Amino acid sequence: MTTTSHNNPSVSSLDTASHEADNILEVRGVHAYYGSTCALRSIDLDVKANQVYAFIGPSGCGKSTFLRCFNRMNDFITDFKIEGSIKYRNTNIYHTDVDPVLVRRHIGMVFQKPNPLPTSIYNNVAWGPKINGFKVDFDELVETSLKKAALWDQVKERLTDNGYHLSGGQQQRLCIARAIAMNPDVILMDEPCSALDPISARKIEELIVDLKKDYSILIVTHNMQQAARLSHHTVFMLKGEIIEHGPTHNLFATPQQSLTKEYITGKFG
Amino acid sequence: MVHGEELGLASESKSVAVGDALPHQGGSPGCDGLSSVSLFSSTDKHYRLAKWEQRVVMVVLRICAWCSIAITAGIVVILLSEAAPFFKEVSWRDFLFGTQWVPLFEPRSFGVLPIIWGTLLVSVGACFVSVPFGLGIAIFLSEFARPRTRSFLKPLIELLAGIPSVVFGYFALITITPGLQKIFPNIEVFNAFSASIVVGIMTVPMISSLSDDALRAVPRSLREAGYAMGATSFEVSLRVVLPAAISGVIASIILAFSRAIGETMAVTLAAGATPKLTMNFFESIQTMTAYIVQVSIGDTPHGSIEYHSLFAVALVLFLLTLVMNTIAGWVLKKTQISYN
Repeated sequence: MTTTSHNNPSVSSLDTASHEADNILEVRGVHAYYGSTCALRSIDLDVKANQVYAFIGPSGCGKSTFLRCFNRMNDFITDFKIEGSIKYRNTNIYHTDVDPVLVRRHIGMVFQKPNPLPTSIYNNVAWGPKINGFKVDFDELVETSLKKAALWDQVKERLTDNGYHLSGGQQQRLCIARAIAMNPDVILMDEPCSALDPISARKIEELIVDLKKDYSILIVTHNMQQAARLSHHTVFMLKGEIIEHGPTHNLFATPQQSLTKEYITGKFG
Repeated sequence: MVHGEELGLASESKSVAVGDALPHQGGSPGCDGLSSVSLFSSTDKHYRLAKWEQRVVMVVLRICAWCSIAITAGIVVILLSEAAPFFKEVSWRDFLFGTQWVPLFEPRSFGVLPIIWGTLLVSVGACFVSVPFGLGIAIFLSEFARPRTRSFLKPLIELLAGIPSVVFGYFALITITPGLQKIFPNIEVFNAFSASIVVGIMTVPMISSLSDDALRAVPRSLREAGYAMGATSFEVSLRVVLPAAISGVIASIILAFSRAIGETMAVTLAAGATPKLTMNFFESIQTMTAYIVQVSIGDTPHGSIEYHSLFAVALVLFLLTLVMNTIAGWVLKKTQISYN
């Protein structure tokens, strides 16, 4: 499975001598616009491998837009424009020679609303690897991915059922299994629990705790407790800018900016 | 103010019964009768006018709805009653399973299979044109066309549906058939091939337009799911969006097929009037609709068996399209997934 991970010349790094080799993603001077509206303003951020980064901030602060920049998901919005660079393993994913399709094979995504494909549970997991030409035992891949997503025991008897027959929480875990099956480096999660009931949300959270051993996870959340529980680093955004970021514990215990303090104590948001 | 609040309460409890005879009911309990009556007084002209207006509109709308049902029912009744004399002379077994359709000359034979076959031959042939083109156009329009391209292309294609079918028939006869004759010299002047092509072209807008609607109704979240797994836009449209919209797509194909079954002028002009059971698209055939035209414009005496055979054929045609449309509705309902 790992054969497909880093052997693509357009994405993988030839320049491994970088002194910041432990940074899997480097954001430099990113500005983003929807038409003439500025959505992100001079963003710089380093993302270290195998860590969880939480993005918090009030609605409309640009955290989802920012997250979707990492797998070029904003490309589909007609009047979207981005400046600056986002380097994945030292390659700028916005370089003209980089195919966004290949970027998305390394950087997976889980969405706010569970969005299984209208096909069987099995095919939901096997679909991505199949279209990307993985040469693996698909039965095994489906099983291990579903096990990693803590869903295997509930669905192993009915892998041919439609993904939509699962409950909301199960659907979201199916979407996570699907992302895992692609063997990504980074998983982006856009408020993965917000459409779920509290019990399902807790299960997803437990799953993220498990996953952070193997993947770098960038998670957007409205829920500050969730950010505090899950992440190593927290990024606080406001009006398209990063106000403050740092180790989660420090940011919540001793915020450096008064805006951060006001937000995390619930003065606005 | 206390009084006013009481009235407010009363008006709430009353609003349930606003339908009829409101003012004569007296006050509701917990409210003094006098003020309640004056509040809901029927002398309010505006109210009475609005009420009256509503009743009139309701009656008109109801009549409209029932009219359409009555007309359909009337057609069915006439078809049945006019076909009845036919079935007195010809057994339904000979009619449905007979393989010779010779209604106008002696010895007569009323086996309807050849013209059902002709109809299906042209309709299936038409699908070979309309499905690939219609679906291709639909996928292009919904997935790849820029908004500007789409905004002029879609009306342009729908314009095809506005061309009178007699024009299409003429086009088949004087343009398509001579063209085909250059490629296939043994093709007859009237043939099922050119009829199929032209009926296919006529039903392209139906498939492209309805399928385009179905494809565009697939939620963005599903496309994003595909893209997020490293699919190309081609893979997303063919392997995510199309399967997700399959119910609407299949329904559009069935509706187009049913439209092809009912198509009259184009096939009458292009396919000729030779009822036969053949697989050869190069030969002249006859469809049910073309038979109806042939007999309707001739001097068939009222009450003769040919006259009544029209209604028997029309009945078959009606049932065939009814079945197709019912299947379309059923497919749509059965395969639809709610994405919420």
